Amino acid sequence: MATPRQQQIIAFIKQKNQTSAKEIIGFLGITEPAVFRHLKILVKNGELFKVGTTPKVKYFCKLNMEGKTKLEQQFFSWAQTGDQKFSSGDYLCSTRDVFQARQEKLLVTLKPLVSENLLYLLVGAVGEIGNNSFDHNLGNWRDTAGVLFASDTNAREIILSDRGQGVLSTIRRVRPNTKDNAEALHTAFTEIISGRAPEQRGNGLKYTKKIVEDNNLYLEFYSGDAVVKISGQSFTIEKSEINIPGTLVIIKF
Amino acid sequence: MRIELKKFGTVLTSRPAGKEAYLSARAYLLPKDKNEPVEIDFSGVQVLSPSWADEFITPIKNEFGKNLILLPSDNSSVKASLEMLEEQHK
Repeated sequence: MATPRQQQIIAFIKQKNQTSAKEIIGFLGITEPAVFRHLKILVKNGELFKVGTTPKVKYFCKLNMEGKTKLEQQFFSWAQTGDQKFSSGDYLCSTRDVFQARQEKLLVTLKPLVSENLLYLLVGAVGEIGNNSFDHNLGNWRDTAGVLFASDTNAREIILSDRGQGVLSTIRRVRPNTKDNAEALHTAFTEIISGRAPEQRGNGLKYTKKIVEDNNLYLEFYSGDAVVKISGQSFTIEKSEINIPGTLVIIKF
Repeated sequence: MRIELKKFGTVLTSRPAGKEAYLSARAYLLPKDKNEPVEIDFSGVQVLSPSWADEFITPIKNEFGKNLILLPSDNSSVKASLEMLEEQHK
C-alpha cells in the first residue's frame, strides 16, 4: 500500500507521463535521499518502473494491462518507455526494407486465416500504417528508429508501434491550431491532409478506416492521450488512460 | 505500350518505392510521345496501397491524361486503392 507521499509521486508521474528523480525532488520539496527511498519502494512494489542508466533515468507508472494479451503488454510497454528490453529483435523493423520483408511474410502467415480478398486489404492497411511511421518520423525518432510490428494468429491481431513524434505533432505542421491529440486523430482519419505539405499525400489512414469498416474488423489507434476505436461502422475517439508518445495500433481480424 | 506492375514487385505499399518505380518507368518505359496510350496492367500484384499508387499513377495520369488506361483487376487491394485515389483527385 502506497503512503500518501508515494501516492503523490505516482500522481505526479501520471500527469507527466515520465519524469526524472530531479523533477520529483523539485515538485515535492523534500530531501533527495527521501525521494530515492520512496522511488525504490515503488519500483520494488511494481507501482513504477525505471528506464535508463544514471544520469538519464526516467520513471514511469506501471500501465493497467488488465485484459491485454502478452504481445499487447510488450508493445504498450515499449511504446510508453522506448525501453529496449521490450523491443525484441524479431519485431523491430529499423528500416523500411525490413518492414517490407515482414509485410511479405505477413501474407504467408495470414493466408490460412482469412479470405484472399481480406488478406490483401489487411496487408495494404498494415503497409500504410507502418510506412506512415517512416514517412513522418525519419530522422526525428524519439530514440529507437523504426516500427515494432508483429501478428498474433491465436488472438487474430496485428500490432504496430513507433517511437516517433505522434499524430498531433505531424498534423500541427499543416494545422497549427489543432488543439489536442483527439482533434489531430480526427483530422488524420477523416480528411485528406498531409503533414508533409506541399506534397500531395494523406490518404493512408482514410484507406485503413474504410477497410476496417467495410470488412467488419476492429482497430485501436493510440497517439498521445487519445485513442481512435473503429468497430465495424462505429468510429469513436476517446481519451486514453495510456499515454503513447508516438503511435500504437492494434487491428483485430 | 503496356506497363506490367508485377515487374516492380507484388507487394507495392510505400511512397518511396512508388516514386522510385515512377522515375524508373519514366526513364526506361514510358513513351516520349504523350499522345501514345499507356496501359497499366495489375495482374500478378498481390497488394497495392493508395500511397504507392499515388506516387506511380498520379504523375503518369498528369502527363498522359486520357491516354492512360488502367486495366481491370479483381484484386481487392488494387480496386480499393484506385477508388481512394479517384476520391482524392475529385
